[in-house]
Amino acid sequence: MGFSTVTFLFYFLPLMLLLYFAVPAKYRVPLLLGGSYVFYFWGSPTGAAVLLAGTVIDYLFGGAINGAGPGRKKKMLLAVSVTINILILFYFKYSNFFIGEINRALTFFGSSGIPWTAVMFPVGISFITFHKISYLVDIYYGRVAPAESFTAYALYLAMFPKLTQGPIVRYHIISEQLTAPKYSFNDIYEGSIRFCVGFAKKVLLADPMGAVANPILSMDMANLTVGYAWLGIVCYSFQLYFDFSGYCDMAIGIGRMLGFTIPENFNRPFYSQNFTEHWTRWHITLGNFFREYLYIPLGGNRAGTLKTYRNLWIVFLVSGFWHGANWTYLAWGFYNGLFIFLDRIILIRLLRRVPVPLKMALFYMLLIVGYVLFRSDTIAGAFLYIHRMFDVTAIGSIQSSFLLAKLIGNRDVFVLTVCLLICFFPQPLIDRGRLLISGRFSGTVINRLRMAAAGLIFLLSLISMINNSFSPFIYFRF
Amino acid sequence: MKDKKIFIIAANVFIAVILIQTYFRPVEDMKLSGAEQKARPGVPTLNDVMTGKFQNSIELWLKQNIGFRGTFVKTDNQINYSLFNEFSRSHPRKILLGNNKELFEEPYIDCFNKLSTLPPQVLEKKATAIQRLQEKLKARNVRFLLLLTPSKASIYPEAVPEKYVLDSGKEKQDNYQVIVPMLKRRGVNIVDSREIFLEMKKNGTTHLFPSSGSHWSLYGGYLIGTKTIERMEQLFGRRMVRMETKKLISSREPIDLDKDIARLGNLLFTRSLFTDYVYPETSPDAPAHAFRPDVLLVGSSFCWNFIHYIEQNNVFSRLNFYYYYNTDWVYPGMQHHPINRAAINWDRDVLTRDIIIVEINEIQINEAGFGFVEDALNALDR
Repeated sequence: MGFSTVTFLFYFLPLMLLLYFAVPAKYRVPLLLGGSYVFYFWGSPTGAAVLLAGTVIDYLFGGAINGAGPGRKKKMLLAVSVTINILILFYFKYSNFFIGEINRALTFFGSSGIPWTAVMFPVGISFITFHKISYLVDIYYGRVAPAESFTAYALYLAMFPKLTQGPIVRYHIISEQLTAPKYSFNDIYEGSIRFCVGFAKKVLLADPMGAVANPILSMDMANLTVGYAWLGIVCYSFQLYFDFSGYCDMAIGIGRMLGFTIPENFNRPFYSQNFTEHWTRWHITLGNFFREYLYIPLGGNRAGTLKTYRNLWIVFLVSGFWHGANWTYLAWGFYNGLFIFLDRIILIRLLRRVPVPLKMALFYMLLIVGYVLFRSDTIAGAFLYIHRMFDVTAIGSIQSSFLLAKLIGNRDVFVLTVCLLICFFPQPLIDRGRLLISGRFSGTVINRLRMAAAGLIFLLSLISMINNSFSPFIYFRF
Repeated sequence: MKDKKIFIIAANVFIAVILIQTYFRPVEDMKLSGAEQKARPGVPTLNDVMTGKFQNSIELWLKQNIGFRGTFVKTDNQINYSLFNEFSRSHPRKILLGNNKELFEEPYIDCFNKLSTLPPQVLEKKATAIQRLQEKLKARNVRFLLLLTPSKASIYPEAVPEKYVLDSGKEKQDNYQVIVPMLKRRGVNIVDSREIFLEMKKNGTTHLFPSSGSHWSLYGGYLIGTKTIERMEQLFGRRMVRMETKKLISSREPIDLDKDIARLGNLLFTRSLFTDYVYPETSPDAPAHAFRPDVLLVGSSFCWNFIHYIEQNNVFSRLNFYYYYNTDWVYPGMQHHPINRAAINWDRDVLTRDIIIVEINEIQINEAGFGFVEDALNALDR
């Protein structure tokens, strides 16, 4: 069940909130747990079953790890429990891919492939697995005590706002709230505002940008002009960002309404001067997870320069493959790792004297080149697309049968402009504007403006969402 | 705090109002134009629940039945039109706003840009099939006439905004330009409405297409009706009932198909798309000996405006309109029923006619006759 659906907006969420606020405090956690399972079951029945089974196993392992004294047994329990989780993830997310690759190789050498029925991918399993690993590892290192109750742990994993797309919430951040969530009226209000913002990002910005990007990114090379190639990937970058950050805003908003603190996941990620800075602003909770649970255990930057670089590459390759089961994701991870590596050895120093706007433009260009790898189905397809982006000889020589006016309408041009402003408007000017507004207007006026703006963008998003569901034809021919 | 409370209460009231409207419909919502596949909530079988089919059916049904859907859809469309000068881009069959409020459906612009031209061999094959059908029908004493209908963009290219014109299309020939000489070489009886309209336009005739419609106007349909009657008289060698214009009535209010795309735009203020329209007041010129043929017409929605005045003036003794060759509309009376192609009694339903007219629009030359030509040839070969 997506957040931007009628089912969620008008049925699931209002009913969930109504019951949550109506029942006595001691029933809130079980209620939220039940609701979260309904939410997950609705979108992924298999996933709900896998989640429940995995929760029981991890809960038992968590207790066992905590109970085992320091030594081999504890380490062994951690290794087994983490391996089980990785195997579950591997089976559901990567088995189709690897079997497909093996079968392709076997067919190439004239053998028949391995008989295989495709496994259905439970939505959100990648995020759930990371939550589980963080819980087990934190218990192992004594950073947290095991969950007070099975219900609390089950809710930690299944909590519907962050279940399918994160942000990744480490157990210790919300462990107390899991047993006795506390909310105030102000939390409900602020959470609602945040939800409206996220909903608008998704429906009013991400979806229109996707509608421009998708036909371009699936265009054959004969029709793909240099301009279209750039337009397509720029729009895709905004689709990706506003879709994901919109979802996270909605998750943070709902979490706050319910009395949970879900961490921030984005901080104007395109407003960066290099990849190193970007990765502190983009999918922040994932970056933190990899730092804590992979980079540091690998030795981090404590074991010399070469090992630091090796560790960074490993983190980015794993991160790439975590995003999807395809060589293109691995290539994307490699690409990001390469620039993080280059940042460290030369780029940041080399570009020190370059004006900031130029550095940002250069970084954004390199970033979206990487997005071609992220979005493509094949490495070869990605390289062809990237080649077209930089093919100066193709400028003006390709007569595309796709008209620009049909790829991007007037409203899309407006949306693209809004996206550019949101992502690249200078931060100092924003800060100055904020100061100016807070100095000139009273808190009440600002608050009223926020409310009016939130209400308006919610309404606009809603009508746009409903209009997108209306696809009539003049006449039924068939 | 008071303001915040008002905000939360307003949000709750809003949701409640939508839900009340969804289930009790206390207020009549705005009607939406256009045919839509109605969603039905599925039955929760184990398989359908596990595969998500049941959930999808419920979500689709809820989306289609949400309260004030008509108002929401029309408001969004009005925003697109008023602020951005365009129609909703999510529409499956996009509506494009041309110059002087001329509306186009995207396939007609694609045809204008020659995006789906067929190889000459394919068109040769189609022309040969049509010629064979004409000959075979002639052997059974049934006449045949091909009615070629134009696209608005071909008649009024000046209404197509430059941004929708593809340079590469200008040098190419479209399917119509290739197939017409082939048909003429083969002696196929044709009423070429594109040629007739372009000639009429050159001579100052206006309103051949309505600005707010996709098909030719009622007036355009009437003009082609008179030309078709002339051609049929030549084929039969007999005087038929003709249609006479008593006067032309100007109007700011389009009728039926003359506003079909405007209605499909589903704006709050559809009238803002209307321009001016012309409607002929006609009467039959029917001498006692006038011949009223029994006609089978196979074609697309262009035929509605063609039939309008033909029917009003009682030009044919009987008319069956095989709409897209899947629904049989019977005149007089406008009864209709689905066509079971496999169960057509060709001797009774087709070969007893005086004439068979097949209408082909220039954007649909690739599916000329919608299968009728091939089925008729098979039946006649048996």
